[in-house]
Amino acid sequence: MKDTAYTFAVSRLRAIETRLLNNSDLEQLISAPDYESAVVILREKGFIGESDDIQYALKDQIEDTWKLLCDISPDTDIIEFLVVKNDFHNLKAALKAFVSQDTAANYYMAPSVVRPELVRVAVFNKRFCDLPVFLQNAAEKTYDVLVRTMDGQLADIMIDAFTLEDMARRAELSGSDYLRKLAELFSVTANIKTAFRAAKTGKDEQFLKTALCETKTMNKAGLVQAARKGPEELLGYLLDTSYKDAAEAIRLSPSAFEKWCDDTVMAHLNSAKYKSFGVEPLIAYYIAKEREVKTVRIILSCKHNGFGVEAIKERVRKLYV
Amino acid sequence: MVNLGLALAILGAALAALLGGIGSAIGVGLAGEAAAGVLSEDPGKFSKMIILQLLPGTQGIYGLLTAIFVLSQIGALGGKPIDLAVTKGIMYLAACLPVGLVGLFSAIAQGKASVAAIGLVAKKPDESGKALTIPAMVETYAILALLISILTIINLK
Repeated sequence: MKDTAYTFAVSRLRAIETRLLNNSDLEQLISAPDYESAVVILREKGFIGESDDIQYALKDQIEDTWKLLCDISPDTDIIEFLVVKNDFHNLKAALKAFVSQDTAANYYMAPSVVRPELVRVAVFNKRFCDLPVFLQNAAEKTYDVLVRTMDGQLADIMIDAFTLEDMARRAELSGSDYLRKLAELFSVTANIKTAFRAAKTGKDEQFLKTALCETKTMNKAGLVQAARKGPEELLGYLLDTSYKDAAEAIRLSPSAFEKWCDDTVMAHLNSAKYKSFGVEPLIAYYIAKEREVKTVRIILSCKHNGFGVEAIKERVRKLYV
Repeated sequence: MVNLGLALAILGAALAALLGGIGSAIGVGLAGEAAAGVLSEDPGKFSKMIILQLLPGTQGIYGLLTAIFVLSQIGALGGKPIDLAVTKGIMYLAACLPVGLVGLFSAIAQGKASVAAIGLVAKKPDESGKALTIPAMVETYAILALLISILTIINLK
């Protein structure tokens, strides 16, 4: 698809982007004396409607953004990169629900490429061939491991690895360097997170090999060996890579590291601000919207729990605008 | 060989109108898509959008102007074409090339610059003056090409 095919979509998003929250809006939210005042500010800015269910209103924003992108994008295959993680999450939820014979529907996430109900029915009937190709292999392999070992954590890390692999595959197919770099950043940040947790809990080499995925900018074998030796060795290893800032963030606090992951991805997304053609601004807008909602959730949650302004600022992410 | 000279001159006029027109159609089309994208969210920006959309349309007008000049000089407009030597025909054809070729490429480039400017106006409506200047810069080269074509054609008479 030629970049100029996205002209209408990109321009429409440029007009919509003016409604995203900016840094002064966030400052205002953070400075709000309590949760109720923060909700009032969000209502005044038109960010949420009059609904009392704030969580539902926030979730709705993501689904509406996805519907908008599907409407305006000339190629929906390429933007599926954005929501495919929800499909794998739904697969994870369906497999665990099957094992525990739980039929509740509130574990599933939207938006997704495949309807969550289709994933649930396919897993419950063990008819993995009913699933789209990109989910079949993950479903079959994880199902086998889960029923054999009943190890939920192992199933989780297997599906997480399948998710990142599928995102990298889609990015490669798209031919977009921007998407490739984004997929790489997702994989690297996920690898560092997993490796650090595994190092702290003393997981073995086999676990690390299963949990970590291959990346182009960080050697998997080196990361496995460093994580196997312990957290300090892992941080030392990271200092020798191009992700040394991650090691410094981990030393500060877990939330500082989470913030570093989000800010690193956002720094890459920002390059789409200056593009008038191509899929990049669509990708950036969706992730920016997700981040915006996530940031509002963090602030509201902090306000609800009586956190101070500084504690909230440490957790707040950089915005796209 | 008289007819061949005339045919070459008419070919030159046709190319001037054709290439400039194609370029403008692509440029205005691109800018139109972008303008429609912004207007679907903010119809109040119509007046700003329409100026930016029309900017790449001038190359088509320059092509038309050049073609009329040539056709007028060779008498094709009055229905009484003059006798034209092959060399003169080639000269008319060559004179039409700057406005045709520069028109084609500059209109497409200007269309892309207009799309970027439309994005700028969508995000910062107060900067529409600056946004208008950016694609207008591309116009310089279309005007220079028009000047060369017209001066050459005038001196061919």
